[in-house]
Amino acid sequence: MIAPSRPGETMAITTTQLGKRYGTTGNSKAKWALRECTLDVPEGRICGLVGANGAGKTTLLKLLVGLARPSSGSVRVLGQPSDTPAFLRDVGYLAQEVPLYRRWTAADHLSLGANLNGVWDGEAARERLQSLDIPLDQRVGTMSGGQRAQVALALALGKRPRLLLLDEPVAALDPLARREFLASLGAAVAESEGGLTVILSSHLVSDLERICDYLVVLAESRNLLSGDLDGVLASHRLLTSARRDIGSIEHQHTVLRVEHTPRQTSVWVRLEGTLHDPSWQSEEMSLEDIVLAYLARRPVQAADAPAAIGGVR
Amino acid sequence: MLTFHLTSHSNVAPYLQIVQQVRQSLLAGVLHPGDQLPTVKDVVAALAINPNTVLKAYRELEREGLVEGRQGVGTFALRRPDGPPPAVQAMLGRSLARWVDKARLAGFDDAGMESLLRATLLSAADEAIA
Amino acid sequence: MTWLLWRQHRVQGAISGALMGALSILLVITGLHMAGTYRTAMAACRADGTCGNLSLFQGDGAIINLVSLTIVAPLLLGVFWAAPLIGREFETGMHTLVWTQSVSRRHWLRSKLLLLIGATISCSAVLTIVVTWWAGTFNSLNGDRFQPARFEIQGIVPIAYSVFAVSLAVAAGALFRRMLPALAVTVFGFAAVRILIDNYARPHYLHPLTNSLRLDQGGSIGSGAWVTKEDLTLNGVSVTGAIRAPAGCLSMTSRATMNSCMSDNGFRRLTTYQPANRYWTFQFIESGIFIALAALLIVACVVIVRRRDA
Repeated sequence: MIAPSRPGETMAITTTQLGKRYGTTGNSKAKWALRECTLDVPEGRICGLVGANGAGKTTLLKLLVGLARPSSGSVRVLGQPSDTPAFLRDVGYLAQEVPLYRRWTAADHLSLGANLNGVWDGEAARERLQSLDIPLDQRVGTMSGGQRAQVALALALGKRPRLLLLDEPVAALDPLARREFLASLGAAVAESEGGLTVILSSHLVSDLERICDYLVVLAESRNLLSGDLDGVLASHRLLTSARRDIGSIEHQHTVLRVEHTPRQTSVWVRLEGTLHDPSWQSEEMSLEDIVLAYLARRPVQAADAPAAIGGVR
Repeated sequence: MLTFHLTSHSNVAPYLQIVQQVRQSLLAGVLHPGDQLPTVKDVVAALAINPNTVLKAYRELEREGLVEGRQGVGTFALRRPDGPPPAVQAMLGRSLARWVDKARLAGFDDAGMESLLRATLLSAADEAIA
Repeated sequence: MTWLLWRQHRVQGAISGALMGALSILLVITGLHMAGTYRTAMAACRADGTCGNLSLFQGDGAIINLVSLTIVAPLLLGVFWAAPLIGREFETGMHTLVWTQSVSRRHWLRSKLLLLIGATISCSAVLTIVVTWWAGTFNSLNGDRFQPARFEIQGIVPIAYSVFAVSLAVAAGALFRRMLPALAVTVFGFAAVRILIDNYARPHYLHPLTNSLRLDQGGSIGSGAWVTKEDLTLNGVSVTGAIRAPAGCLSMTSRATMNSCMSDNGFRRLTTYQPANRYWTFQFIESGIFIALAALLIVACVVIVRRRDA
């Protein structure tokens, strides 16, 4: 693999063959929302969790924060299983629907944080909101979507978590509010100096490209790719050449997609080593193209092991 | 204080864009040795980028000896990179402006000039290798 | 958690307190007035011996109806307090916010349920104390406290009904996670259980007493007893269908002589009843049943909340 691994990194999250099935066991309608998901996310990263709607992103986040229990496999978060009460102290979570009490003010929500958490940095939370010109005494029901998301983020950060899980936090926001939200998030991570890991789900790659340095791609309830973002970008190529057989490429590398026109052959690949054949013209792929190549690849075979790029296992 | 701009349409990685902008500011005399660079948090809050991207850029600049990180204080400019002094830069800029005027008179548009410049740079690089 | 409960439910609490206060004041004022009227009337009728057909308070329909309406108080507590307590948190997704602070799910649920049950007991206890005191005058006028409209709003059963109603509502809220089905189950479930117990269980809490009397004799089962059945018997066997009076009695002209004749021929009136002194026993038995049902529902609610994924 081309991607540089970073030896010595501790993992914020480790899942092993993690699966979640909704519906009772034995019921034919029971459906796997997530299956055979094995991944690591190192501490101090901002990890983007990408996938189509219904790919299992929300399920994975709920399993990580202990709101759902695994049907199979195991989760370790910050070195402990996610069903211990002590674990909650270190984890912040923001659900997709941005749950806030609509009739409460921002200040009420900060009081909630102060009263339900042993560790609470109320001063920082207030400053965070004031710096964004969000009035503390305004009911959140009358705020804009961007302001509500910021209040929820301030609440989640107030307990000084070591892991922050955000489920599609910017999906409903306009571009400016989206940028501001991601800027606040990045600033919080910068402030923590490596002490805060963030997992951020989205189906929009462009949201993640700037802010993330780690990537997990889920499709059809499975983990297809996880790794350091630089490594992911470095190891994926679009190869073009005059029309020809791709056997030599398939043998050494993982082919994501092939397109033959009468004159030309295009191959989207994940390089598993150096590309020896100079007759292929090699182009870098954008993150969006890489993700799309994975999402468009079907049917997914059960035996298809997820790629861990730049991992340390 | 220095502000950075990132473009996502560039083929240049975000951290390299920051490195180039710091280098350029030092060359142009916008940033003087001893000046403090924006903190990682400020850059992240302004650009909504990953903190590690900024850290990586500053590490690269430190490696080149252009800046120095002082524990708990911040990152400071150390010296100008090797390159023409501001006066020479200004002179080259002026002659380039004259060339642009000429090219425009000759019927070149911006894209045409860009590709001509790129082609010239490439062939110059080839000659240097040969 | 205390702060959260206070912040979330303070408005509800204030409204409920104000309503309870207003109702209590109204009942105390009218209750005192009625007791005074009753005492005066009793003093007057004792003087001329006409207390047997005392008719008072015919014009006080509104307030009497209001007191009868307290029969739905448990349902109101279920609908306005209990169903939203957990059900609305689920419906709006707020549970994920609270469950991901540093408070465990178990602690959150315990605090909420303790508040609910405590407030329900306090509120319904105040209500039943006031109503029972208010109804004292009525009970003296017409002794049968077993009548459903009285038995079910006086004594201790209203507290048990309330605890049952809120337990049903909170469990339904936890199960359905949406308000509408939870409310429907609360209303129909509560009504169904109450009607079933009322009609099929309550008459059988204790084996009833019977009293067989000649038709020309007055009753002697004591005032305040609950007569559950009255049969006509002939030589100890219940008479069903058309009554065949003995030929000799058919010529009787007055009802009294006819009854006397029938009794001589073996006819008796068999009264099946629960005596008045069983009133509190019945209150305790009925309360016990509803508290037991409530306990089962609370256990179900705890299991549902703790086992299910958010």
